[in-house]
Amino acid sequence: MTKVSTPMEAAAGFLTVVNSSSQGLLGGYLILNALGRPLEFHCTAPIKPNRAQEILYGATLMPFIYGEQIGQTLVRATQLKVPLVVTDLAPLLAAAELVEEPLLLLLPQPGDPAIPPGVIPLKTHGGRLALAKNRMANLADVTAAAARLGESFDWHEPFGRIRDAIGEAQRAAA
Amino acid sequence: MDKPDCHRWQAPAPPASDRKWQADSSPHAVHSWGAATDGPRVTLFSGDGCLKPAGVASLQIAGRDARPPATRSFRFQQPVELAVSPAGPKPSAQPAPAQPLPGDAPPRTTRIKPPGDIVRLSDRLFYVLQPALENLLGGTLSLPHNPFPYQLEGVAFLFPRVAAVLADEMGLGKTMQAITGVRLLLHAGHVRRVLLICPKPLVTNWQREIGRWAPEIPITTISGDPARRAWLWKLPEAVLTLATYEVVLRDQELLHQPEVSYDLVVLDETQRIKNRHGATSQAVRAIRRRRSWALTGTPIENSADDLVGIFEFVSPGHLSPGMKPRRMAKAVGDYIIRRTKDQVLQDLPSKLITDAELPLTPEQRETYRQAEDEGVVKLSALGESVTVQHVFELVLRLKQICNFDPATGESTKLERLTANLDEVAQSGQKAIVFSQWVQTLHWLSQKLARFHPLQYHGQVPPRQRDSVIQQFRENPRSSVILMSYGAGGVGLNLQFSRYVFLFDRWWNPAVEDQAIARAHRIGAAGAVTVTRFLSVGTIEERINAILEQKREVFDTIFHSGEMTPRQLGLTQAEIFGLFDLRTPHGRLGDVA
Repeated sequence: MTKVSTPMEAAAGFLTVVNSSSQGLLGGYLILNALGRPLEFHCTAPIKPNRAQEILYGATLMPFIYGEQIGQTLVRATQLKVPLVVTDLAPLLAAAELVEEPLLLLLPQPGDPAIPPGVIPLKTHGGRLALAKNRMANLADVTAAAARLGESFDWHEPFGRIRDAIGEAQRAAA
Repeated sequence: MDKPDCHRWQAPAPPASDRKWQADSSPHAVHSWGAATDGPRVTLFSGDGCLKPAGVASLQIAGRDARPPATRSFRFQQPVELAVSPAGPKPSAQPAPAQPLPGDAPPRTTRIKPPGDIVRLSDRLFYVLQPALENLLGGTLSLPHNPFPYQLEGVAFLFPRVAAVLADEMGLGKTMQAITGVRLLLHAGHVRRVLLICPKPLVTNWQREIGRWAPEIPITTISGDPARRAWLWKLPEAVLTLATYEVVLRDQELLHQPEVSYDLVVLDETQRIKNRHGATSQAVRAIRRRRSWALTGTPIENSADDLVGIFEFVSPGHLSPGMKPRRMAKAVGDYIIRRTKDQVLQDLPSKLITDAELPLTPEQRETYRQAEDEGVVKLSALGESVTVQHVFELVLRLKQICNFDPATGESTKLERLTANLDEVAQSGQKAIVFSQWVQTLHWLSQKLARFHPLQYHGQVPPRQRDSVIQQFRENPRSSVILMSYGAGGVGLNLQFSRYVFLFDRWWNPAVEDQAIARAHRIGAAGAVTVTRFLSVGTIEERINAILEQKREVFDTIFHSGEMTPRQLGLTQAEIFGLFDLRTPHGRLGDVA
């Protein structure tokens, strides 16, 4: 039987990072209900590694900043139970091991041949979502949770809202 | 006064267990700053009026851990689910945009933008983070048909605004935009009590349009004797209260009591309060309210001070009399949205048809009832000798009463027409009014004298007709021409008229189409708005039902050529069927 969401219930979280040339990396996390309305929004202050940090962290710098510093911090900022978290940036998948919520990657194009390592495309939703391999145990729950948003839900659209909101917050702080 | 949002880095921060949501008086959200993990971290508001962020956070390589960035969090008010009437739309799941095919342009979306006077970041983000209007409306709130893109932009304009003027040209759907805006606010839980004030002739129009565009919203219309009105004003469960300017003026003492307040007051035809010293303006402005929306097609009728009068309601003190136009334009820029038909031409069909379904006035209703009762008795007494001519005479008499009560001159159609012509004339446009009776046209000519009407019908000598048309075209004072279907129905080119009113309906929709085509022709200057008047609960409604049914059939088989326009008219059997006339031998129409 299909579960019916209430307006207060979180249906999905959307996690992304905006790279601002002037300020650095800014994270945003938007939680929507099943009607697509915002329940919570969390954003980070900008982060900008210096040259020494880039050298010291090397190839692990981006996964560290995206996954641990931004992704983990934002996903933990909510007290809502979020059945799945979707990101449009592969480096944020580094947060998959640090948070309880199943983390999915939104593929740029359905059936994109350049699928990043560490994820497996779901067979549903036109192959647009891919689940981190280490969370395959959650596959059934994730598929069901994603289905509650509807087969034709526009998974890209919430990320536009996040970018607009980050821009608004930055203008307010300026 | 609120401090601007600002932050600076501090360390160490309190443990996570100490984290608290900051209370926020925002109606939409609570927000907080705080780090999400234990250990060294950064936070929080500056208490010393610091206005600039301290820059960017650097990763701390040395020490215990790298510090996670400070986060700022916003929680939004949960949407309210209004009870939906059984006949209303059912909530559906998520927005379901069609998947574009390769090469398709992306689907058009209308986003809500916060107005400039919303300062608090949490409030601004609430609007920025809303889904596109197409998704909001296509999800839980179904609509009878798809709004035009400019109408969605109008709704997106109204929704976040505490003070707004929707000043679209007549015929562009201000009513629908306002209703949808109110509906979204009610469902979002931002308003619970709404008062809508309109001129008396437009009450039924609002009731009908609310029923179409927001069927789940209960309407309380203030009417009746003083005791009943007092009871209605104080109904605690009233969601959308509808009242006329006259009633508000009459009941102002009641309405101005401290316990009476509204989350939103919407004024239709707001030019009614342009005189800020007038009693109506003062009565309306004294109503306690949080949001004020004004709807008008003519925000400026005579001078820029008209706008000052409107803003005394919308945002008191924002404008002042004698303000320079340039300064005024700058001051109102974020409060007013106005689109003309020319501006949204690409969105519009070339012909917009509106059915104005109007009730008779009580006096008209009584005259009508008497005429119908007496007429039916007489027809019944004729028994089997009744002819279609007998029935036709009764139909004509009843239709004339629908136009106006011959005894009192009362006419809801005239009230509505006058209200519409005000807007047409003020915007420098021209209108054609059709009636099947020359007598009605004469009567209208007297009643509409201030619009300098011209007449064009069978009693106008043919040699004068060209000069009448020329005068209508060239004289800016003549806003309206009164035409009979017979004389004005064919052969004239009046493309410069953007408005057509069918004061009463012809027997055959094909003839009405020909009349409308006077204005709606190839080369027409823009979209033509056609308003068809219809008295509800009368013979006009019964005739219309038959004609509409025929038109539907005609449209279905048009290309097959199986039905000619002539057959769209009423048959003898259908005329008999307009009244339930019976004899001992059966229905009169069947035996005639």
